[in-house]
Amino acid sequence: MTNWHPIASSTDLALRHVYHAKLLGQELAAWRADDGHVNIWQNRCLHRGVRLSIGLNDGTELKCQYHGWRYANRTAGCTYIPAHPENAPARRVTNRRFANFERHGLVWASLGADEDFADLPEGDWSPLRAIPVTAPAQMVLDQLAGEKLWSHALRLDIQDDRLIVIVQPLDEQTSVIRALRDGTPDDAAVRRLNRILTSIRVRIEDGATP
Amino acid sequence: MITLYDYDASADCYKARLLLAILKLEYNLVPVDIHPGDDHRQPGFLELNPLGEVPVLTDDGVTLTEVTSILVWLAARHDASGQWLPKDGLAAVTQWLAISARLAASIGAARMALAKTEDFNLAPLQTEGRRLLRVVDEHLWFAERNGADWLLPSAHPSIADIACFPDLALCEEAGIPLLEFPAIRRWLDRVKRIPGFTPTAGIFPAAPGI
Repeated sequence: MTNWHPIASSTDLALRHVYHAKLLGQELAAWRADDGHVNIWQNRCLHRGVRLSIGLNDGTELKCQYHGWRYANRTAGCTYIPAHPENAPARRVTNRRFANFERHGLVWASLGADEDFADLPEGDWSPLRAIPVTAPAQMVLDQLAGEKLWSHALRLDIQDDRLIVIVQPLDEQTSVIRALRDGTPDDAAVRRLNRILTSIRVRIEDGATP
Repeated sequence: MITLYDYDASADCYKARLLLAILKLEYNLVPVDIHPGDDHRQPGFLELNPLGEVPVLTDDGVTLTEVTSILVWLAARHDASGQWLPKDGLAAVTQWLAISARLAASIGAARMALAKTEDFNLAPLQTEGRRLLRVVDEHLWFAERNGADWLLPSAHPSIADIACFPDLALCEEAGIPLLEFPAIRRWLDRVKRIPGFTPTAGIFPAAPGI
């Protein structure tokens, strides 16, 4: 469980879009193919290391903007190298993939080996707007007084709103607060909780500045 | 006939070229060689614009030297649909035009500091840029949630989107990663899909939408 982190909201992975993510310092390119499959890959083209997050998602392949190398949905195998149009790329030319799944409107990824994901409370939960914070994840967790669920998540009640708050470590200095609220909050609730989480960010960042 | 005095690498000039292209207007393009030619400091050009800056647009006996004025003029004069400068969205359009000037003064200036074309103090420009980006990203996230694609809550893009686009699209060249602003990244894709959109140096096209 401790290896799994939310890296995006499901709605962040719009069709024909490439989402730029980061987890524990690892840069990721995340994209949803037209068949709904979510691909989370190392964010570099195998050719010259250009970020794939600026690439083109055509629905079935991701194409690098610089020299047009293409990688297939699901396998991440390179399907086309413009400099060698006659030759099928060797089968071993495959980008690095990361395990992922979607639950409660969040996209969860793991940089390590697959392991069971069983600790998330049951029920119906909806994601709020993600709040990036310029502070280490542990500092954010320390500032959120709640009941610990696992190393980087806690249960938290804000007035009448029941929340699960997961803190995604982007790298050693920055993190993202990803909160789930129970049920399906209306627009007013989403805005109210967004304001509260934003004010928590201000407090944490003010404290993080020496 | 419309004449645009243009410097290819200027984000403000790109705003004018972008709107001219999207509105499918015919115009004379007069390149002004700023680096290394110093054309903008020659007496002939200073007569046109005493500030010695581009873009400058002349049309029907009028000379405009501020990019926001150019966008307003082109939309008011040459967009028969009225959608690029909607009368019922005047408050929001003028707000966003003012914000676009702030984006240029922070993110645009940070870009010039990094490119060493200007001797600006980088850090405060980036700090101000991030402060604005957080507000823009939040605005666009709630817009998306309400089914709106653009800065204005209308079904059609406006000159507000054109005015804000270049400095937001070139954020990374200002040393400000867009990773923390996913709603802005999705909006950039949508602007790139406006019929007639033209890229420029550092700005890549988006994959066609569905």
